[in-house]
Amino acid sequence: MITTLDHLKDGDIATIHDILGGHGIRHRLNHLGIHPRDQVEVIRSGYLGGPMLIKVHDIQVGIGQGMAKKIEVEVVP
Amino acid sequence: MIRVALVGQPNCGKSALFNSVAGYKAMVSNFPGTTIEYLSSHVLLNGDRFDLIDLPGIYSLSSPESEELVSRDYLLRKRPDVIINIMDASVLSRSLELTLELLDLQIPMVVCLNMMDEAQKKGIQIDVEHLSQDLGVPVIPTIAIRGAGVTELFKTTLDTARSKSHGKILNFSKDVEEVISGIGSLIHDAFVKNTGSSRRFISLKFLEQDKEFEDQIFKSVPALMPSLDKLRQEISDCRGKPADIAILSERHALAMNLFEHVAKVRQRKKVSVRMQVDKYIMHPVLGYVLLVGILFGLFTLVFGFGKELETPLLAQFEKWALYLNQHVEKGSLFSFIMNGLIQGFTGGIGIVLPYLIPFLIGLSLLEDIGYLPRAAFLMDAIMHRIGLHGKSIIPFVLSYGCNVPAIMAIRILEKPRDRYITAILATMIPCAARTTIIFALIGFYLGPVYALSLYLLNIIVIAAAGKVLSLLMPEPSPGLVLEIPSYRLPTLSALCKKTWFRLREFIVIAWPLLIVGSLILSLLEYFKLSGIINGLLSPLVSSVLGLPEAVGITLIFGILRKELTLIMLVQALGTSDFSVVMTNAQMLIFTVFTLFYVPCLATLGMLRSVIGTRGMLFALIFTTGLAVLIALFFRLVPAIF
Repeated sequence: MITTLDHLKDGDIATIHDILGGHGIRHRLNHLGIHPRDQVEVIRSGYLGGPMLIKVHDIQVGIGQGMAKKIEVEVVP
Repeated sequence: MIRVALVGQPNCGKSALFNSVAGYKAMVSNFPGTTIEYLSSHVLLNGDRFDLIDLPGIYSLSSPESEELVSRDYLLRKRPDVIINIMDASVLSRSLELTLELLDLQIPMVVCLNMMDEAQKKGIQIDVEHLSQDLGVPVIPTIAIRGAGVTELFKTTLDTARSKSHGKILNFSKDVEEVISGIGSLIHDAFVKNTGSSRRFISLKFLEQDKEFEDQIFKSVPALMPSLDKLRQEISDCRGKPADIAILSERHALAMNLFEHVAKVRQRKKVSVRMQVDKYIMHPVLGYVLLVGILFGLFTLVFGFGKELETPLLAQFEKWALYLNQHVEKGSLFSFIMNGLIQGFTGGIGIVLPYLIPFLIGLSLLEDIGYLPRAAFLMDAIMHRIGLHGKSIIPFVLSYGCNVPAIMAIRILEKPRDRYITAILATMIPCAARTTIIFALIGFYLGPVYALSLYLLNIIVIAAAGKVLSLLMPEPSPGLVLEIPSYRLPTLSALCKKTWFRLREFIVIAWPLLIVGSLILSLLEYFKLSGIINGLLSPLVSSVLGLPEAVGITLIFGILRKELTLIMLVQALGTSDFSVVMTNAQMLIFTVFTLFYVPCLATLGMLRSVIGTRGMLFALIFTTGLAVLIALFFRLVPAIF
C-alpha cells in the first residue's frame, strides 16, 4: 500500500516509492543519500508537528513533517 | 606556495584533519561579500610548507541553496593546487557522489578515506587499492581524529600537487554522455576559462539546471540557449523525467556501482548502541528533560564558574586602580586616560577568563560529541513557529548569561539567514548585566511580579520580532532535513584548538573596541562633556521617553557595558534612592528601554564579525527602534487609563 512517510509509525520499515515536489526537495534528499527505491526505517515518528527521525542506509536523518508528506513510501510488511 | 583545499561532506572529520596539522595561527576568514567563513593556515609538516584551506562541508557541488555554493566558488575561482577529498568511509556510497563531481573539475586530487574504524565497526570492508584504480587518484585511509595516516596523506597530497596529475573521468550511460559532449562542443573556450571549470562540468551543471551556470551562459552566449535547451530536453524525453533528476540518478547509480566494486558489507550481528542511546536522547518526553538538563548544566557551569572567578579578579583590578590613584595626580588628564585604559582592559579579562573560556570549552564539547544536531531536532517544532532553526535555542539560552558567547555560538547555524535573525533576537535577551538592572530598579522599587512580567514581555517581543524578521526574510526550503551524525569521542587537542580559535577572535575583535570605548568615555568625563551629551540626547530622553534629562549619559555608558548603566545612574542622579528622582512609571520606561536598546560594544564587535557590518548596523537600528516603541507604549498606555 502506498502512503506518505509522515503516516508511518515507530519501527515501520518502508521502501521509498517516489519523491513528490520539485528540484529543491529532490536535491536536498539526494544529498543525504535518500533516493527512490531506498529502504527507510522510522526510528521515532513526529510528535505535535515536530520532525521525525528516520534511518536510510545506516544514516540517521531528522525530517520535518512538511518534507515527509512529500515522500511516497510503500510499507514493507 | 602550494595551496591545499580540504573538501568533504559535513561530519566527515574534515575539521579534525585540519586541526591535526594546522598551526595555532590558523585564520578564520570570510568569503568575500558573505559572512560564511573558512579556516586557513600555513602548515609546516616534515619540512614541507603549504597553505591549508578548510572549506565548509558540502554534500554536492550543486545545490538549490546559494550559500552552500561558496565552497564551489572557491574551488572554481581560486583553483587550489590540489584537493583533498575527505570521505567518511562509513557512508562511502553517498560520499562518492561528491567525489565524482570533484573529478569533473580536473584539479589534482587525493582521496582521504577517513573514519576507517567506523566503517569497520559497521562491517564495511573497502579495497583501497581498487578504489584508487577506479578513480585514478591516490586513496589514503586515515583515522584523522587519532592522527593515523595523516603524515602519509599530506606527503601524497604534495606529490600529487607537484605532478599535477588529474583523476579519471567516470562516464555515465551512453545517451547521457552524448548529450554532455554535445553541449560541451557548443561552449566556447573563453567561457570555459572564465568559469574556472571544465567543459564537462559546465555541461553537467547546465543539465542539472544550476541557476548560476544557466545565468552565466545566458548572459555571455544567449544565442546558444535554444540549442542547449533542445539537448537538455532530449535527456528528459528519453528518461521520462526532468534532466536534473536524470543526472542525479545517473550519478547515484555510478556511485553505487563503484561502491559495489570496491566494498564488501558484512551483516552486523548486534544492534548499534548509538540507535539505542538516541531512542532516549531524542525521546518525545525524556529528550526534552535531558535537553533542559544539559542546557541548564552548561549555563550553571559557565556562570557559576564565572562568578567564582570574577570576584577575586575584580578585587585584583580594584587594587590596580587604587594603586594608580595613589601614584598619579588625581583629576589629571593622565589619570583619566589610565583609568579608561585599565577599565577597558580589565573589562575584557572580566569577560574572557571567567565566562568565555568555560563556555567555549562546553560548546565545543557539545559540538564534538554530536549533541547539537539532536538539540536542533528536538527544538525544531517550537523554533519553527518563529521561523527559525532548532539549533537557535543554544545562543538564546546563553544570551541570558552574556550576549558575547551567544553571538559566537551563532556560528553553529549554517545558513546566513538563520544566523542573521538569531543574532538580532539574541541581543535582545537580558544578559546577566541587564538582569541586575531589572532587579535593582523594577524588582526593588516595583516588586518582583513586575520584574518577572518584564521577562515575559521580553520573550513575547522576541517571538514577535522573530516572526516579523522571518517574514521579511522568508525561508525558501520547505522544512527540516538534517543529518544526525554518529556520536564521536572528542579529543583534547581538537577541543583546545577550537576553543583557542574562537577565543582569539574575541581578543582581536571585541577587546580593542572595549578599550577604545572606555578611553573615550573617560575623556568625556574629564572634559565634562556629559552635559552636552545629555543635551543632545534630551529630545529622545525627555521629550519622547519622559525621563529626567540627566539619565542620557547613563545610556551611553550602557553601550560600553550594560552594568555601567546602573552605576552611572547613581552618579548622574546624585542619589542611590531612585524613587526620589524618578516615578515608578519612569523607572519602568527606563528599564524597558535599557532592556532592548543597542547591544553593548563587545556584543556589537562580535555581531560585526559574525553577521557583517550591515547586519550589525541593522541590529543597532532595529533594537533601538524597538526599544523606543516599547518604552513609548509604556509611557502612553498608563496615560490613557
